[in-house]
Amino acid sequence: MDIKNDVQEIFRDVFDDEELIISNETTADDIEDWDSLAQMNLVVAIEKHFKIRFKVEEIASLHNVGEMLALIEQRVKG
Amino acid sequence: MKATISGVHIAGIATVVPPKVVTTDSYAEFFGEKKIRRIKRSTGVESVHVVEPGVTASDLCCEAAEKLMQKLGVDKSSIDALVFVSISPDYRAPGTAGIMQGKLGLSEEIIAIDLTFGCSGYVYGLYEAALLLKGGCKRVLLCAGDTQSTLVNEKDRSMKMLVGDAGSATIVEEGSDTMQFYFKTVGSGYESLIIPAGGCRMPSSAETGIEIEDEDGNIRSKENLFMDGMGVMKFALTEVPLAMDKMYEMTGYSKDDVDLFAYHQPNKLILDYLSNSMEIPAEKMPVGLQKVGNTASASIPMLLHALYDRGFDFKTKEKIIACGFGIGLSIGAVRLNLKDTVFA
Repeated sequence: MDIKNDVQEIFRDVFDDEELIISNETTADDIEDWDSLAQMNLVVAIEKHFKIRFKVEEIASLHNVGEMLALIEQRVKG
Repeated sequence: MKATISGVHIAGIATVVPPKVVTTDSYAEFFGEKKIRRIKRSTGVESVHVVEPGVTASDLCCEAAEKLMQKLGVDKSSIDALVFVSISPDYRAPGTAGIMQGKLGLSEEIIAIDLTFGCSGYVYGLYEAALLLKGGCKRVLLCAGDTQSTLVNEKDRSMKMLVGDAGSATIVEEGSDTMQFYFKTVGSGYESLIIPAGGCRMPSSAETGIEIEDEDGNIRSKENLFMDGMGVMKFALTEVPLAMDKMYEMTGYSKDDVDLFAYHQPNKLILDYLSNSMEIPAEKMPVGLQKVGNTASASIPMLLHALYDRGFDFKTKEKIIACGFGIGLSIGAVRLNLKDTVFA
C-alpha cells in the first residue's frame, strides 16, 4: 500500500485538480479552498479508503499532510 | 440538563418557504464552476428559498400558523401562549412574538416570548411550550423560523450557498404524550457562530459595516453572520453522539429501537459522517436539505414535514428522536411521538 500516493489521489479528487502534488510539508495555506468543508471531505474520503477512524480532535488538527500521513500509517497498522 | 414532561401533545406542524428559489449553480459566475461543484458535493444543497426584501421570519411563521390553525380548526382565542424561536427577529426591540400576537389576531390575554436560538431552536421551543403547558397554558403556538439569507454576506462562500429561509408553526397542547429532553450549552464556543455587531457588546457603526476578506477568500462585515466551520463541526461531531447516549439512557431505547433520528440539517457531509460514525442506517437519519438548505430553527419541522410528504409512517414509527445543534453553542434533543400529529 502506497499511502502517500493514495492520499494524493484523494486530494486530487476532493480539490478537483488532477495536477495537484502534495508533499509532507503541504498545509492548508498551500491549497486554495482547503477550508473546513474540504477538511471534512478529506477526512471522510481517507477514512473510507483506508478503513480507519479519526478522533474528532484529530479531524481539526489535520492541516499538515506529513502529520496526516503519519497518523494514517499508525491507524492502518492498528 | 435532562427533563421529562408528560401530559402534552403535538397537535400539528406547518412549514412555509418563500417562493423565490436560488440554485447553487447560479453562483458559478461569481465563485467559479469548480468551487460550486465541490460545494454541492459537500453540502448536498442544490437550491434554497430566499425571502424578498422586507419579508421576515415572522412573516413566514405567521403564514404557517394561519395555515395550521385553519387545518386544525383551532379557535384563535384558545391559544394562550406564543413562542417565537429565531435568530432573525423583526427588530432588536421589541420582541417579535408580541408583534405576531397582533398580526395573527390572537387574544391579548396571552404570553408571547422570543427565544434567540437557531439550529437547536426547535427543541428549545418545544421545551418552552411544554413548560408553559405545565404552568397553566392550554394551547401553545410555537413558531420557529429564520431568514439567514438576510444575515449572510452575498460574497461569503462559506455560508451563502448553504443557508435557506423558512418558517414553521407547531401547536402544542394538553394531551397524553410525554416528551423527554436533553440540553447542553457550551457558551465558551459562542464565537463559532455569531453576528458580532449590532448588539450592545459592539453597537453598529460605520466601521462594523466594512467588508473584510478572510484567509479563505470569504467576504463579510461584522454585521454579517460568521461561522467557524471547523469549530461548529467539532462541536456537532462530539456532542451529538453524546446527546444520543443521554437520550438512550432516558428513554430506555437502544439505538436500533429508534425509528427516526430527525436531526437539524447543517450540511450533508456532517449528517453522513454522524450516520456512519454512530452506525445509524442512512434511512433512519434522513438528509432533507437538498432543495431548501440549512434553515436553522425551522430545519427540524421542515424535515418532519418533508418526510410526511414522502409518506413516512408516523402512525407506526413512533420512536422519534429530534436533535438540533448549533449557535450558542447549544444542543437540544427530544423524544417525540407524532402519531396523531397533523401536517399542514
